[in-house]
Amino acid sequence: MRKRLLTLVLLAGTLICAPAAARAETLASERNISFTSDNKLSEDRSAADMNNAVYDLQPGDDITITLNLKNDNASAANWYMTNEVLQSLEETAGSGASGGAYEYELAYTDPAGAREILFTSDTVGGENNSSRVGLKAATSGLEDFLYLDTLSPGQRGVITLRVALDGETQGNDYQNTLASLQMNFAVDTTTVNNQTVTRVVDENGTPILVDDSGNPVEVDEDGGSSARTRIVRTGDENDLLPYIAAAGVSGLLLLFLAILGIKERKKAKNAVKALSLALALSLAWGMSGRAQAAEDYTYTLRLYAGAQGTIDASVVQRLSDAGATVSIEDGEVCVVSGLHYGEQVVFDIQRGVALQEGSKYYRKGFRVSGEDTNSNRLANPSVTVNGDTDYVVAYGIQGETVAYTVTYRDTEGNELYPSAVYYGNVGDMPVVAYQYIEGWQPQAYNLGKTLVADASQNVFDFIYTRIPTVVNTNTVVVPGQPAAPQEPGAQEPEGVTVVEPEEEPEAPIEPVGEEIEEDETPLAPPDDYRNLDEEETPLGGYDGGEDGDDDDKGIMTSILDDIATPLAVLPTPAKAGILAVLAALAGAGIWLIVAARKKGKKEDEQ
Amino acid sequence: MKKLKKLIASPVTTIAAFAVAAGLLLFSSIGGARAALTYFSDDYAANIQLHEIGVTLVENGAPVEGELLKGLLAEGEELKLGKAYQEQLNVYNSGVINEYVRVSIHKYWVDREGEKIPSLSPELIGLNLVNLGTDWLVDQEATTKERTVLYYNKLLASQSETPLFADKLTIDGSIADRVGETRETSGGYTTITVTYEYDGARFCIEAKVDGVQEHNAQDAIWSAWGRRVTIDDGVLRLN
Repeated sequence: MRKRLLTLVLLAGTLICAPAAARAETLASERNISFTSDNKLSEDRSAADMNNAVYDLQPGDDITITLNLKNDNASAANWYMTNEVLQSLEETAGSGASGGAYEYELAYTDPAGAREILFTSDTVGGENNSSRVGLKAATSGLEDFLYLDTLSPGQRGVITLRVALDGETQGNDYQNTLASLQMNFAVDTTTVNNQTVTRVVDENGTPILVDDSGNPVEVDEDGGSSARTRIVRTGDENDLLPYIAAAGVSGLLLLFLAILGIKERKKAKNAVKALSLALALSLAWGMSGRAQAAEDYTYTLRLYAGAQGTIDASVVQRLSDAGATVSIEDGEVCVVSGLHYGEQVVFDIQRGVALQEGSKYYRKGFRVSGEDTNSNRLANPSVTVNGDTDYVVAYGIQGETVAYTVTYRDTEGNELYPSAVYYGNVGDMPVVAYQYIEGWQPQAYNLGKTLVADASQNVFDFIYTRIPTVVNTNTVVVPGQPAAPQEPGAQEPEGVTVVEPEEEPEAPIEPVGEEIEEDETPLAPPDDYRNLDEEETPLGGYDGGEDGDDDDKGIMTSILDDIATPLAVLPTPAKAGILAVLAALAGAGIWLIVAARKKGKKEDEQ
Repeated sequence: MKKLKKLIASPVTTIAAFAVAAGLLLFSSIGGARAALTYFSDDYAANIQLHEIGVTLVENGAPVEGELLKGLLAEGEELKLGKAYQEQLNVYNSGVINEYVRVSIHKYWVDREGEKIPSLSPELIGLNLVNLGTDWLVDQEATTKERTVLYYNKLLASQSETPLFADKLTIDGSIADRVGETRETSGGYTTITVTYEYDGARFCIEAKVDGVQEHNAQDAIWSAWGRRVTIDDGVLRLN
């Protein structure tokens, strides 16, 4: 009798896990960011340190990043932030990771302790065909600066970002993957749209003018004075609109020229060679299926429900072996025993496996115990018996992506800023932030709404109202100053004189009252947050419309905004310099074209 | 006119036009919406990394690549029934993270074509299991004559090995006694045919090693393997 040895070894590593939070690892990271007295945003650790921080997570784990915001500046400050996923785990080079889900929550806690959720979802990513892969789906509405809060001097706010990796759906393909998140903050001071005028009067209540040091100044005959008006600067000093318009028009013309050039080249070539590379890799497994009678030995198949559901006997749709038996153990496993080699069992997990109530998962199939949950590794519902085998139900999260639109209009419905289109999962409740528009005020800084499958209902309408100019007049009495003769018709120069009365230690200037002169009724400040799900009564005036025509425009604007953000902080001279260089280049281009045209004409004439 | 067309069609002109157009359009996009944001922070980035999990079967002190029992017999040597051959098996954590591991062992016979012969007893393939109860737990629910499932009851640290779970391999000598006899009578003669049941059969041993991450391992095992276990202070127990 001759015997030969056939040996096999199969090695498998499994990273799959369940998401039960109770025993998952929770990591934390904390930073302090302050707006300093010298108008800088500083942190207690360098940004580079945080950039280098790598958090070793495993599926089912979560991390909470806390950023403490503090205003150490003498002025109140508006805080804004952006949040962007630079790379999701699925985008790691060489990784085949897909279908994994995440929980993502970004929240802000104000100085009073009120917590506002800016974005939350427990089904980010999952299985969908969205262009925003994995974690990136969470931040589609957070990548432009959104308003957080106005912090008075000394006040603190807290940003918390929690990211959890779903253990059920992140399998072996997620090994050696890397994700990168980024947050940025911006601050401005809070005197926009308010002019503060301090009236300095003598003991008789007659207005007088003083210079920056508080000394009285002579009023010219024409009513002018040498006192400097100090109105808070709210934007660029120069009106750049004509330059920007000129740049835009020039840019479009040159773009047209470039496209024309490409068309001309295409014509000249007549034929365009297309190179296509197709890489196909197919793996075929050949298995002989010869059945063999098995009189002495029978096999057992077990199908486990796994961590997300329970199982009953209806999961066995068909049994070809009449001698086999089916039993259910505690709703956790279906045991099919007494199976002979080559017989067939058909499982129907859609019928025989019940999900836990309110589950975010769906039943995607079943797999050999220990194997991955990827769709291409699932077992066939029809199993041919060739040994004792254990299976486990595989679960997935279906990312039901739906579009939502953010519009920015006035009360008449006129568009003030291009609409933007973002994407989220049905059931998510994204919070979107307003766009700052000079001279206009939205009904709320942030709007929240639960997304539904019908995209036409997922509209976030920011409705802006024009801000009336408010002049606050502080009346200050200067004791001991002679009463200036009140000339008939003499009026205080308009918008005048901000004074800090420091020069009179013995007779300090004391404010004796304050009156507010209003051109119009003051506009109530916007809400910090408004939940559109709770709004049943339409808003006054324009109540928002549905406009999907600006989708592409919104996306383009978003892209340009991303590029423009760092340029926006350049000083005006730098911008003007760039404009001059670009204008020169444009001029040179036009000159070249004109010169070439003239030359061509001459040659034609000759 | 031709010259103009030639100039326009020039790649240099096209590239220059694109560059200038992009610059101008970029500049034109610097608008009022940004004007109010005055002070900007640095980038606050956080990186999330998932590491590799890996397990390797170790046979007689060497990691197994592909097939088991390559060195069991010397060249030209034939397997002796009833002889105990050294077959020391354990598991090595070749990954970056700590993990819990289990081993599924299948023993069976196949014919010359490689087809399984269920009627031949796997029990005659004797793989001697060791350290049971102390380091390795036998999953009785999953164990049959053909299959044995072992769980290592401790956390296996990265780049470390478990104790042995098997040390010897013996093919039971009784297989030589397993014969079948047929009698055929034709006329005054009776032909007796004796058939050795195991003639031409080959025995197979499969060992499959699974690993599950350390974090959240109890539920991870439930989800990945279907099996309910309890883990207390790093010690695994089968429910």
